[in-house]
Amino acid sequence: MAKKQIDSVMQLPVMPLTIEDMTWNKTGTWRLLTPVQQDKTAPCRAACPLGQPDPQMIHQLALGDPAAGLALLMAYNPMPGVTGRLCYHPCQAKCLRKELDQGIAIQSLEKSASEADGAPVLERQADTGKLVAVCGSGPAGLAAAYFLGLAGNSVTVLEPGRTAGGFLTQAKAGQLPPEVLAKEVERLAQVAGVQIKTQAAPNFLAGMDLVLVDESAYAPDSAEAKAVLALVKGGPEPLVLSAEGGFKASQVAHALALGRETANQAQAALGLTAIFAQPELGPVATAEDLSLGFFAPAEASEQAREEAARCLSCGTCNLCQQCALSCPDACCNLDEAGGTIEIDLYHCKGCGICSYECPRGALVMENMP
Amino acid sequence: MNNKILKQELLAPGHMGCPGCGASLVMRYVLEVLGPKTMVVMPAGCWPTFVGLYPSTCLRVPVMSVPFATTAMAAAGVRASLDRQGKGETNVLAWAGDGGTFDIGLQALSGAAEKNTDIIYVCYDNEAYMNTGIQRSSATPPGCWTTTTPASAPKLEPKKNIVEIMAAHRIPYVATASVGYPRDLMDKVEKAKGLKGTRFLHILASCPTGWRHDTELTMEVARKAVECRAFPLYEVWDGVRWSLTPMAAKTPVTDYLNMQGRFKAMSAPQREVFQNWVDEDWARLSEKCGDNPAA
Amino acid sequence: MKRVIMGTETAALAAVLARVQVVAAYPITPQTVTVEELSDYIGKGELDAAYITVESEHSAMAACVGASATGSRTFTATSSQGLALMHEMLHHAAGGRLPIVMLNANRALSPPWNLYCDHTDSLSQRDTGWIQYYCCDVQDVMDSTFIAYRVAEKVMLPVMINLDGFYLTHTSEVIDVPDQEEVDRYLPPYDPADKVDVDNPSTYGCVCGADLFSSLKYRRQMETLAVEQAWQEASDEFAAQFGRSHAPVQGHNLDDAEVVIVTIGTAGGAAQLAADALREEGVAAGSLNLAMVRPFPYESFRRAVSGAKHLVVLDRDVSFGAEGIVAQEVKSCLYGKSSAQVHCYIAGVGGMDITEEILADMARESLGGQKQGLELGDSIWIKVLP
Repeated sequence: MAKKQIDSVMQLPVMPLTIEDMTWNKTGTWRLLTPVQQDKTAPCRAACPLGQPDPQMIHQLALGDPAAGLALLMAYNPMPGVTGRLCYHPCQAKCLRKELDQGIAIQSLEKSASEADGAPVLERQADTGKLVAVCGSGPAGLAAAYFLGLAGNSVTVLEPGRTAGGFLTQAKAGQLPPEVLAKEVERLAQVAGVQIKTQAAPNFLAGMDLVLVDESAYAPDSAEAKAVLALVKGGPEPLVLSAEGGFKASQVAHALALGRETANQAQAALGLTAIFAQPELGPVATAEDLSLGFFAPAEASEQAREEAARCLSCGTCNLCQQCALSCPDACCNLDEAGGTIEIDLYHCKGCGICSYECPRGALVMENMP
Repeated sequence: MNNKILKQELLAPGHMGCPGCGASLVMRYVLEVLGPKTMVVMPAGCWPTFVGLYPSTCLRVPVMSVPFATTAMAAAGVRASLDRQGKGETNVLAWAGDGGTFDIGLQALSGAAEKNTDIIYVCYDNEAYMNTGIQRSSATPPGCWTTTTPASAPKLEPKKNIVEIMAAHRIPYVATASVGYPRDLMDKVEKAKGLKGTRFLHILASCPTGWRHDTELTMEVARKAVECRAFPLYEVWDGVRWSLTPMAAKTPVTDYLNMQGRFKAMSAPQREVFQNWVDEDWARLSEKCGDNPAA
Repeated sequence: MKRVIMGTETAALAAVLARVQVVAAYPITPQTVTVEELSDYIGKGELDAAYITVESEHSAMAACVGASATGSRTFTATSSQGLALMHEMLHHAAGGRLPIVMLNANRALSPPWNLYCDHTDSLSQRDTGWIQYYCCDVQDVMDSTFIAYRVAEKVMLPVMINLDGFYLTHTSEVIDVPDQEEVDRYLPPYDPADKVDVDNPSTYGCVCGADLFSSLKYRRQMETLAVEQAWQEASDEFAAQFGRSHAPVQGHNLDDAEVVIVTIGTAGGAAQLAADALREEGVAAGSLNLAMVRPFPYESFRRAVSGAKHLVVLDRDVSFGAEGIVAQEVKSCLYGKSSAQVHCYIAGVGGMDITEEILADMARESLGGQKQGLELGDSIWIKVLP
């Protein structure tokens, strides 16, 4: 980027032709305000009991990559195929697309992402050497097992019944077909490296570093319940997954959130760091943050990709590149990998067009430090 | 695969254009469509002033910076030379501001257009001589402040209708576009690229420095100009078939005027003159376009 | 091949033989025949070139600039008002280092209108940076065109070939027209190292700061001053191939000359006759045809007149408020280098004939003979009303 040193006029062409580009010119020194990408939280995400990144997941669907969308979901939610069917979808109530025409069918899109082929490969922590048992395979227990498995523990789920899933097995087949549930359980076990044993007698808990017990998995005062508690004696105190009053099927997301939270508590009890860190989410985007005029009206669609393309990605950069399109100095650019927008502050003159033109309010102009 | 929104990026950062320069954006869009096999011929104006500082340049296509009055005919010389060398596929882009097009370059432009010279001529219109310090051109709208039309001596005349002049040459394609609508702009460059002969694009290029608006509003102002029909979008084929580009519903000019310091001192009667000019031109244009579909 | 041919036709034929690739020109008397002929040569396919009809001389040179900068051999022709209209573009072409060759038919500038010979049009363009060559006869028009391209493309500067309006543009003479193969041997195709090119993109002529601007001018001056030598060499090579010489300074009986009649253009012929007549009277007279005015051929000129005591300079021009332009040039060249007296005669402006007698009388006056014309400032005006 350095300007060429000219020591003799004979180094220059005879014609008055340039010999280099202008990139040495640090026009960034002209800047008074600096563009900063600052994602706000989409209202759908803010409303989600699991805080799952819906706009990002939907963006992947719009790009035609449901597997990538599924991976994003499964970092937060072990059973998106279940929530995609049963959840009461508070996300959709907050969708800002309604200001324009119809809200996005977020739950359908979640379901669609969950139907991606194969299982995503999520980062699994190094083996901790800890043995953890989870008694009961309701969504809370499965979520706890899933996140503890991702944390590198050896986790076994012991389900006294014949089918894993706890209260989910009670859901109407029309809402959640048993084979879908089975597939979801199988997938979460595969992703997190968790063993699930049904009709399992809890007869080896003595060697466990930690036991989690979902009391609702056992009939109160039943022989199994007594047996579990008896076996635990002498070992560490079992961590009880409380489900006061239980969950309705539609509240499955809350059950999963409880399991996820309990996994963190279990980590603490094991002397390990928390496995699931709730990301720091910025303020929630409002309709005022968006340039609604930018978005063309579009009919709701049954096709996931088309429907996903309608998402406004409120407050969240979805690499639409309007900033790149609107920079008079070619300073906003999609990076080589295509994953982020890089702002060239060596040259950025701080005009702010990128921020003004960002249809989602995800770029702000800040005072220079 | 290149997933960038502009694949070519023939503009390198580091140029000397003002922050928020609309004309720089227009160049990015035009070159995005025309690509690297393009030779740019530009006269005096903002662009040649900031394109480079010898021996450096911000454009990754060849550029000739030529005297003010000569754009179209210098481009004609380039065209003839390239054709003679068998390089007919190279686009010759004549690139001038409103001063270089409406005023001093009009004779050469007419000379080139009359011969249907095979060039794409882009007038990036910022409605005054911006580079020399915001002096009136014949593209300056009525009532607009410039340093040679101060409040004490306002411009009373409407903006010259360059498109009608160019259409009268019966050239294959004339179109207007606005930097506020890059997709439409690039679509029109694409259409122009697909034709032979003189193709003329009149592109509104907002100028925060001369128009006295916040730098971030460059594209927004250019959209508002279209919405209020101070700068309607349309196309003319062969000088005879006129068609309107679909635009948002017509708005009063006040919104547009109020965004910009250059219209601040306009009196109520001057605003009326402006609105009347817009309405009359719009009526005439609508009549010419009739129901012709945008192609 | 011998042929009877007019000056303007010769210029067109020379351009054809030089295989020019782009022609852009605007008609103006007395140059018009050249552009008419060229459009016909191209129309008939006898010259493979693009012809750009333009709407002004300013545009003609603009088109030449565009064509030349992109690597084509380029030709144009103009005269008088047209040349004046081109003024801005002349600076541009030279600054752009574009080897354009242009015919200029020397003609008076208005008002009042006058279509006849006068050198003020081209001489007032001295400072544009063009190489200026003044032809003395029709053969010179043909030959100097080839030399002009050869020099222009070597030094990357434009050349203006000047023809006295009507005296040369509309005079037919028997000349030797060389074969195409011979011309091709002398003048290879134009293949510049520098050009505006999509395969090697760069920007031509952008803003240049004070840091480099004077250095670029310095270089151009250095390379322009070297043109005298370059032209001399090109002329020598031309002479070796064709047997005719067209040097920057063309002398006649200068070896022992005490009085030298200095002319540009077609008056050189009359000057030779005048010098011969003076010799018969016992005056050691010679004549000097100053073919190149820019760059001024300092070395050749000083050498040629080293023994002279009187230089009688004919100016078919005037620089108002000063004197004849050629005389100024000659004085500037000799200042501090020679003690010769320089006599400036302004004559033949606007088409008045310059005869052998007029020139001889000028020389006689400079040697103390009968007074000629009217003295005004440092010049003597011939055949003017008091």
